[in-house]
Amino acid sequence: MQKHGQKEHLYKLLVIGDLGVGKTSIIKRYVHQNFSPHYRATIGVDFALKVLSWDAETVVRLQLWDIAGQERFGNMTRVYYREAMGAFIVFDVTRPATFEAVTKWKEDLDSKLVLPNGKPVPAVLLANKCDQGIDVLMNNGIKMDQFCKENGFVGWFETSAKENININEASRCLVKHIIASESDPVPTVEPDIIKPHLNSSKIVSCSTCFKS
Amino acid sequence: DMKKDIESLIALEKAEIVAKYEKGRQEGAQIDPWEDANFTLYKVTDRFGFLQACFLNLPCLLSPLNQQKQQEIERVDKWLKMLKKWSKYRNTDKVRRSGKSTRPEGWELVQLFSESGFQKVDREMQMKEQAKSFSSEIKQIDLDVNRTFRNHIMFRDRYGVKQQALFHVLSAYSVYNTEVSYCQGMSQIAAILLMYLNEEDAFWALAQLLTNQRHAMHGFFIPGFPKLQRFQAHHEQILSKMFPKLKKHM
Repeated sequence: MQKHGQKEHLYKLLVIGDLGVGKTSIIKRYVHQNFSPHYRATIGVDFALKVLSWDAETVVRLQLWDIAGQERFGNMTRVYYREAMGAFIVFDVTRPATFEAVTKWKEDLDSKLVLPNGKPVPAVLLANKCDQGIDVLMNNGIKMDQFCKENGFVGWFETSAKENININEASRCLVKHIIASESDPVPTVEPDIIKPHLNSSKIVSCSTCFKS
Repeated sequence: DMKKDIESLIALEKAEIVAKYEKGRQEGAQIDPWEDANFTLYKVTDRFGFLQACFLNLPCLLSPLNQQKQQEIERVDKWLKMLKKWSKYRNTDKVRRSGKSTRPEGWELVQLFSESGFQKVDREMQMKEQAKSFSSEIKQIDLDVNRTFRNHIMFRDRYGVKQQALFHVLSAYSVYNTEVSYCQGMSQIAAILLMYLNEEDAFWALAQLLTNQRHAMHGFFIPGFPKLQRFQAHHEQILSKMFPKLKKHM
């Protein structure tokens, strides 16, 4: 990347989940540090940008895509999955149906999007509205760690956009996995492809600097 | 087993929502305090009923230009004149220009009575009852009523009269037009109608907007949004014709 100073990463992240689970609220809390109980319904798609100082050498820019939750927007919004590097799947802990839908959203995501190395995009599960004191998960005795393992989530967090609980943590978790997945080697299981190696000792980073 | 559990929970949830709107803000109503808008910031409503943050030392929207006020008064007179001779004016350009205060009557004539206007009230009541038991979109409607024009005086109170009306209109419509059912975006339209019309009239105005020939918004809201897709295609063609550089950039 740049010769001097910091490395920069730009990641497109999706925020998906059923209608009214708090996707917009989570993004507003994360990006603008505030909360209102009366955000309008998202129609189609919305965007926000968050800049993270990841470490001394790295700046991470997150492009958050807030996808409408109502089912019939599905066909229209799926085109926005393209080139995303990670996803938050959100449900509302006070509404069991939204947890039911999590596997549906995850399957949908994985069927429409894979990383260049062929793996599914890292996804973090957010159990939102945990401030409400009603917890479907506890009542149903669902083991979340087990659930995440079975459904291919890299992690899960109980979050509250209202009380600002765990949103930064969840984001750091997702970014960490994205960075890790980027450094993953492209899989070598491509038996039918022969890669020509032309003069591999000479590494050319840029065609215009070729002679220097 | 868990699935069955969830289904019964959903049924229970639906019944609770319906009961809450039935109860409204009567004594004993349980309203989650954080659902009720805390608008202490807002001091005044503007001429349209929207709450505006006005600080004491700033001139605010309460006093529109006198000229504008005068114009509106003149328009009211014109509307009243036209309404008296409706058959003469109904298809003229004059009618299409609008004036705020007389809009209710004008809208009723344009929207509601352009279709057979009678018996409808009964049907709407009937559908309201049906909606409570059949609509599968009750929760979605409830979530959206809770976030539709909460900065407007009529919709600021959770389960207030107009929120009740909005809930009734949308749930009734979801049963009336099963192809559209409820689609996000409709709540704002219904709410604007409710700012000027009563519940039944707003329902039939919404029905007209979706299905009459001129507006035909049906195709904007049914699954797949065929009309929206067509409009988008048009938009792109216009873009590439008028702003080719911009289009290329996209």
